[in-house]
Amino acid sequence: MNLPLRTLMPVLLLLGAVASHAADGVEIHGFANQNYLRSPSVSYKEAGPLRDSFDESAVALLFTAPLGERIKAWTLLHMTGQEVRMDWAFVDYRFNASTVGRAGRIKLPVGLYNEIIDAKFLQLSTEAPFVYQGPVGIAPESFNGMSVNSDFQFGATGLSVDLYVGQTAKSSEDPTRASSNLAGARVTVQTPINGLRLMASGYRNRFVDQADPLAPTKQTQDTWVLSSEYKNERVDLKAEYATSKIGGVQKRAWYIQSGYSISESWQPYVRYDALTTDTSLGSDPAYYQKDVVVGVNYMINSSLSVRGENHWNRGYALPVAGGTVAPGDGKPRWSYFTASVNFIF
Amino acid sequence: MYTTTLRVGIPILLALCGNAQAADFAIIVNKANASTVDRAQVTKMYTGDLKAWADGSPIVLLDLPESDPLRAQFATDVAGKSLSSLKSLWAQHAFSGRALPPKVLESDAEVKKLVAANRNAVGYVKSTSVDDSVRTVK
Repeated sequence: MNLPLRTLMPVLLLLGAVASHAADGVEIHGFANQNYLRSPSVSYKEAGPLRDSFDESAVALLFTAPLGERIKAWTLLHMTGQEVRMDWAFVDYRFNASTVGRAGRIKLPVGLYNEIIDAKFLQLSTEAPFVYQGPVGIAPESFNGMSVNSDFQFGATGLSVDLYVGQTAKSSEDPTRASSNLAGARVTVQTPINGLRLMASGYRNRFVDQADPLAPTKQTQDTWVLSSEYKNERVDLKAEYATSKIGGVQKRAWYIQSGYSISESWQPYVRYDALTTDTSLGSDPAYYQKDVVVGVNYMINSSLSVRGENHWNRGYALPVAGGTVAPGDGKPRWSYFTASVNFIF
Repeated sequence: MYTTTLRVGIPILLALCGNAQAADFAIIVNKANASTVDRAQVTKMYTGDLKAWADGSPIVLLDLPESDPLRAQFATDVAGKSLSSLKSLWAQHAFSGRALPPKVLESDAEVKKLVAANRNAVGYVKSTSVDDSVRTVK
């Protein structure tokens, strides 16, 4: 079921109108993205044999409702071109001034982007860095369980700690993973330097791999992500390093990206992104990918942006991880262009 | 002499104009709210870093419409951000399930009325709109 923006937009506008008349206390927010992708050299992602595509579109609606002074319900419905799914739905309870608990399906607090990965308006680029690409499997989208978040202040330094435990939500990216228990933490430090924050995230995921239904195996995935961000009214600088190990296979991804607002509307950006899906095979282009991204954002207003970016790749580890290209079949050097219209309300 | 007067006088005049503009709004809380609130805390509230009062009650943040020039002035002076980057920051809080953006009310009068009625509310209004139904944050 492909729903291009021309179909989704009236739905969105209708729901926006409903939102404005929503019952007191109930709030509705949302975002929408419509992407265009063209790859002149290979069939990749939704590009298919025609090598270009408008198929990546999404509309999400966030509903919140207070259930009491300290308790609130949240849910995010996400409609992509292929499916309608509930990204997360949880109840949070504020224990005191600094601590909140959550229970339900919760976005996995990993790195800078994972919790807002689908809201393209809030990101610098149309395509997320490799760390967050679903087929890479470093940052699962959400989990079913509980989490606690506490904020502390030490003079000019802020500290935010997330602790969580639960089971990863069934993923279309990895349907062979069962009984998937995970526990993890994220620590965020707001430094005394205005706009600079540092982050360390890690989780352990124990699961049963059912790739071979006749011989399911127990596996453990250990993942670490180190992140840094410096952001002010002009500069948006991010760098992240992630490593994830399942059995004897280690994946590694890192990137550095920078955007600079030359005016209120225009923001060019660049990124260098690197991925190795098996460090023991790191010289095989089927298992590594290096991507140079150059793009520009145009902010039409504070809710709507248009973006275009070109990717120059070496290696094709991501299409192999996603199952769209077999090892040995990909081109070691290839490129693609992607553009998007992004909206929030 | 005349040049020196201009050199010194113009920056002072500009600074005074800037201060006069900065004083255009007043940050207000409920009179029954016994919490000590300063400007730095209000900055943290309006950037989503401070979400609850000391007793754990949620802070109810109020805002004016985007079309109101006071909102942009408040965003710059208190949050230290442009209107669009502040909006973007709140969208990040919302879509990560952390906090909801301030509630937008239509006018000064509505903000003042809600602050006067809700012990947990914080808002800002034109300095000239303040009366004894609310407490001003210094």
